[in-house]
Amino acid sequence: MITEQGTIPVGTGAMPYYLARPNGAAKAAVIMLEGFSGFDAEIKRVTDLVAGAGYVGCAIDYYYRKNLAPGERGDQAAKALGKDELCADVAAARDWLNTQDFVPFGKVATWGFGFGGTVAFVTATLPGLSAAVAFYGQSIARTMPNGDPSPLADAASVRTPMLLVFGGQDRQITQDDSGRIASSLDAAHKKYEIQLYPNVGHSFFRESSGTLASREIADAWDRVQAFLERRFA
Amino acid sequence: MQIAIGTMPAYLARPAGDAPRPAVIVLQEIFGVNAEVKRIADLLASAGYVALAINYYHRTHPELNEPYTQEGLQTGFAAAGATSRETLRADVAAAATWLDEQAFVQTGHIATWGFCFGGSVAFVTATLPQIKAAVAFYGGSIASPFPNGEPEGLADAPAIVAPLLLAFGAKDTYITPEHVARIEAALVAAGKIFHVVVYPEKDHAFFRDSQEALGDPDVADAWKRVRAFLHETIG
Repeated sequence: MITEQGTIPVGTGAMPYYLARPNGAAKAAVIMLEGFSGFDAEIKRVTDLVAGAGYVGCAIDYYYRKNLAPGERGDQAAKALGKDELCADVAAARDWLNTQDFVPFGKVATWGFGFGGTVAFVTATLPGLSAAVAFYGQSIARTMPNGDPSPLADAASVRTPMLLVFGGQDRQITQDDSGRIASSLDAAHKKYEIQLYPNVGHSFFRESSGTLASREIADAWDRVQAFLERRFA
Repeated sequence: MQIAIGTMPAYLARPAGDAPRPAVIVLQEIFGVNAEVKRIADLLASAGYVALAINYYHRTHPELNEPYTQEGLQTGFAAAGATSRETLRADVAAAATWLDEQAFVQTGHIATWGFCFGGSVAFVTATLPQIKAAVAFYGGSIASPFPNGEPEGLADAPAIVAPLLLAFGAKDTYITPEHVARIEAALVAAGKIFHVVVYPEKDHAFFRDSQEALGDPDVADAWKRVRAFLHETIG
């Protein structure tokens, strides 16, 4: 595995990324979308995880617009991020990846966690993405942290098939929320899958949830891989 | 072919034909413009770039060409210690000006690629407006002082104007993971466009003598990564 760290130009800004890729040919690239915990060891761990499965993992740090200190959480920074900024950041990452020799041209997906799950949903309206995986995005069915309306308002504009994953014990995302997500996507005739794990809570995929959610973590990772395999077959 | 830019000797390698091409200034390791540095220039020419390996020791050690031994390293270090940011920037700027005047060079499409000490030179000369991209392979003075005692290259990070591609081997004992992390943090804080590639199994100078090692997956990857970056920045 080869790792890279650097920045991708977005307008006049420089958005940090962390990238991990196999030594040989990659199947596709997956843009990894951070949650409120920020650009931490966990987002790098899951980026390495997708690289281990044969994908280019590329985590982007959209909190760069707020100049967070290393290790600082993203909750406050997210309040300054609307759909336009998030779409610009993911589009820049998609375009940059497509210029790289190590990415099979045009094969790009997203995978987000928490706030990043919301970002995966929001940016599924962009062209040029083949799959979007949203893990427990708490703002999908609610107002965005910056006050933008719920991303469900854009359900009709979604272009990318989605895999949405939730925990039944998540206090931030109710059954009513996931029900409305499903009915909005159904009403717009979109391709999606929802996987609900009744016994786990928010952020169950984090390494720190380890033994408590080991079965769900293993199953969710299998589903993500199968979903990506299907989308890039 | 051997040329001179003023009093500075340089080795020039060109692709076939007279069509204007983007150009790369090759910045030697600490051992002088030796066969290895010429090999790099020839490699770039084979990929369609005009390559110019400059001898920035010309003021004090114009003939320096040392073997890869501990003794050679010390002689090279003394020569590098006789250079400064001022002489290095003057030499790289002179090389860029010379290239820009050649009909076989695409005006303004100039990058640098340096190795070891030359990697540090690539870093501190990325502040020059003529340099449109800089590639620095395992530059030891980016996060450590220069051989002449001047501060580490990172001191100049805010003034960098060219996008950077930096490559390191994680097994490099001169440049530790802490150094690399500090380089990344400083460039992010300065808002610069850069890419740091780390090869986990590689040591310092992993690209050297890579004629046959281009069969090594990491070396082959590094060469592809350089070409993609040059293509993205200077064409």
